[in-house]
Amino acid sequence: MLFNSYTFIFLFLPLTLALYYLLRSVDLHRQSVVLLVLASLLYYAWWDPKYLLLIAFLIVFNYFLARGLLASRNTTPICAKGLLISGLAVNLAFLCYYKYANFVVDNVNWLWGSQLDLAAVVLPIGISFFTFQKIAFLVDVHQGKVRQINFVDFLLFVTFFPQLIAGPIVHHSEVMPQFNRARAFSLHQCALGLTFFAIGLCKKMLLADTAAQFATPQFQAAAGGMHLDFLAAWSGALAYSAQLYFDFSAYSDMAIGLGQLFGIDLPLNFNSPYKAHNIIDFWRRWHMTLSRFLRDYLYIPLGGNRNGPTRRHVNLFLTMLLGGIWHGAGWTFVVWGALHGTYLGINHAWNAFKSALTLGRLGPPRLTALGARLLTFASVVVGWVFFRADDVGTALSILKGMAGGNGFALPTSLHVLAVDLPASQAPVDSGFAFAVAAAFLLLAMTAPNSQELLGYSGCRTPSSYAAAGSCPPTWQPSWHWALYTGTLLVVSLTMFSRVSEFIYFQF
Amino acid sequence: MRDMLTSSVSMEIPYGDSPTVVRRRARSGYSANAYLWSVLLTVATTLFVLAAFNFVVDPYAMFRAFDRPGFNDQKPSVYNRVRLLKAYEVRRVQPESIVLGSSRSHVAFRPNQEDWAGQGMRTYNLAFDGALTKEMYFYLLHADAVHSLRQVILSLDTYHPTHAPGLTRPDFDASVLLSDGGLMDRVRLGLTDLRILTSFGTLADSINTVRARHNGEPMWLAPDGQRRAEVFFHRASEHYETLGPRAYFDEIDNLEVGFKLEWRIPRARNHAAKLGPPKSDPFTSLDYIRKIVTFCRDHRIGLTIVLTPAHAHQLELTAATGDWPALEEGKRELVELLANDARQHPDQEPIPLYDFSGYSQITTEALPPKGTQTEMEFYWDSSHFKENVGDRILHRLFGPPVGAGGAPADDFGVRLTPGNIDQVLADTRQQQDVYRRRFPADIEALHAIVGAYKETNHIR
Repeated sequence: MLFNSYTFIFLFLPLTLALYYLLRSVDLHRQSVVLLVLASLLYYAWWDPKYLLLIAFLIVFNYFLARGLLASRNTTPICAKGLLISGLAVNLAFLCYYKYANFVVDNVNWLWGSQLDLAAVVLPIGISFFTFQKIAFLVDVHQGKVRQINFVDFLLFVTFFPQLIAGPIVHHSEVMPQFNRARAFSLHQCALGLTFFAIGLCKKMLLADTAAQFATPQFQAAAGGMHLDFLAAWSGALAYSAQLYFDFSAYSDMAIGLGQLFGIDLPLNFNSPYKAHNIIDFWRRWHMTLSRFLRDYLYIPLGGNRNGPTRRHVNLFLTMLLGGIWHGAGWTFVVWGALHGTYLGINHAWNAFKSALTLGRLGPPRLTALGARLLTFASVVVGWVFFRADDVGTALSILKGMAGGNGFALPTSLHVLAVDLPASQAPVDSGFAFAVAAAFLLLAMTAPNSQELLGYSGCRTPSSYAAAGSCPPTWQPSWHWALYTGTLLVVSLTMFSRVSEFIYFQF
Repeated sequence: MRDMLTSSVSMEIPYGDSPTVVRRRARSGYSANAYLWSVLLTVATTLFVLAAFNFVVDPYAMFRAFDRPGFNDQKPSVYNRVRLLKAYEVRRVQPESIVLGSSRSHVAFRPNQEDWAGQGMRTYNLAFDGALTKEMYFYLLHADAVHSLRQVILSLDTYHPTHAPGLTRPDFDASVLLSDGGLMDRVRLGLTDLRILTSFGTLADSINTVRARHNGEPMWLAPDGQRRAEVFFHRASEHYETLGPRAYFDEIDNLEVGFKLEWRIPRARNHAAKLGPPKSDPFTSLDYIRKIVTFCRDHRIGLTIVLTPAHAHQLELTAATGDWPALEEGKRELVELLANDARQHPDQEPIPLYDFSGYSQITTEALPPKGTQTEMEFYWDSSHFKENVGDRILHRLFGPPVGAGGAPADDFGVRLTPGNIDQVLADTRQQQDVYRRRFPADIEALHAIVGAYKETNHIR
């Protein structure tokens, strides 16, 4: 059940909201939490009921493991350590099996010429996200950051439907205290949630899906062996850059909006990443909850920056490499992760170099800022080509096209003006595709993002989620916001007939 | 209502707001309550108006509630949405006997054919262009959920009974189909109706429908589901009309070569290809035929399976592209499937399988001379046989038994059984030799097309 479906918007969501607030209106707060759990499980089962057993098993397993950790943490630390390692191993084993088994088998067969056969393993939806959430929880229990746990709260923490399938990757300390807090019903919060949801929905239907119409055919053509010309390659890469950002940030907006409808604050996940001035800045703006997880549970345990610059770069590289692998079972994701690991290393080295030579800005402020943003963006686009391409060969072919290696050709719309020049064979008009992608990216690079429009800063630290009313938005309802939100919803709802699917749906 | 209009009285205090924020809100004059109502009313009103307009114009013939000549009786948009149209037509017609199949069956089978319609059931042609067995299965479930079916003709082309993955075409939309007709199923279908009615694309097609009200072109989709080939092929824009029957036939032969060989064009692939979760169905095309058989058995629906009679050129192209063994294997697998079914249901009649796809006086009809406008008697092109051929098939299925009561025996069609499949396939190969000796120029031309395509696309 996608957020952008009539079943979700006109059936599941209104019913769940109505029942939730009905229970809360008669002071049945814990029962309302149970209702959210049941609704979330129904939401998950809508995709495929049999995978409900998988998530149920993992939840129960992790809960009792956490109880064991709590009980043994102080009395038998060795036992606690063993429990933690077992828990991590089991969670990662499930993730690795469902996500990487076919990849491993196929590569083993390729490397050794063997004929191992494994039936296609279907990836349970959202497994990457909720596995990370449970891992973070177990580690924090072991480290004493969690003093008590409650089964219902834990259940809802893992399954809360707004973030179950594609994040944000919530930290337990962000949401579990909120489940316990009997927050008063707030029309203002509902209004904010609806607005956030409307913005996200429109970003998805109007921007992401439109960009997909230009990106997908170009990448498919390249995968089919076509050598894309310069403009076709760039139009495909830029269209995908727009599609990915608007698709994923839209989902996060909708998740935050839905959370607000139920009185739950979810963390921000994007902060205008294409406005980043360098790669370090980019990763503080893109998929922020994943960055936070990788930093806290991978980079820092590896040693972080505590063992000198060389080791720091290695840790960064490994973290990004594993982050790439997390995104998908394919060599292109490995390359993407390695690229970003390399980018970060270069960025840190450059910063250190500048500091060592006490270099200031290398030119006029605006020019250097623009240059930095463009360089950062171009580096990111190169990475996205690998991220999207079916295989490394296809990605390299597209990059070759972007470098002019496949020649230059006029798009169909302009070829009538100069019929003697080579005509593009791309499946979509690359001139039009380029213009649309450029317009969308200009929006991403210059316009305020959703939280800036709504004055919603999220909660800056996990602990601040626990304090009631500590993260109030500055957004105020008004007639022009009502018109704007109504228009966004109408435009989005009338575009539902187009086939669309969230990109991060199968992660 | 008063709360919607008042600004500072009885305003709820949201969580954690500072007094400054509360005062600011009080000055803004717009409460959250008013905001929510405004948004919801804006959305509801706009969607209602849009849905009402689209419901009345009905560009896809979903409801046919307000069809008026000179207003919306011309519905050009249905031609691109035949799958959608038929899903709704089934809800309107509530047929008891249907034919499932591809465009060949869509063109050739008349629901009002005397033998078929004469059985006293509501008949409907549920075939559509490019139909694959997975789609046929889901449309079968839909038709039966709408109204219990009594009879199904499963009209397969020779490429259907294979182990190719079970796929659907891009415009297949399962949400417009019922599966079991239960409450949730119908609620879901109702939401789909709403989604289509409130779609911007539907609005655009509604406007086109109203604009087309005076174009006077006869509709080539009949209310009983058949495509009116006499209308369709003779439209001014159709290549059949502009090129002439013979040239059109040759054009389709060329296209067919592409359909048969394009999947074999070598692609430059990195051996370390990305692997992700498989997107294709674990069931094959043959598996969906099996599902159709099982469904009909479980629901006591009379099922008859036919293999359609494409022109012999199609058979020759199959041989020239190296797929003849797959064709024979498909027939064997079908026979085996039905034999297994018969063994599992000894108390019921075996499901008959009629093979009209071999070489016969119909399928070996000679082509008109090049450059002429002479129409063929039995074919529009090498794939699509005419209504008179469809009538013969229906007469064979539902008319008097062959040899009894005046029904003439001919070489067109044979019932396949485990006892005769080997002989039938051997006879077909002999007839193939005869055809090749009779029409050597045709064979040479077809081989030249295949050879040229392979060379151009580097296919070995």
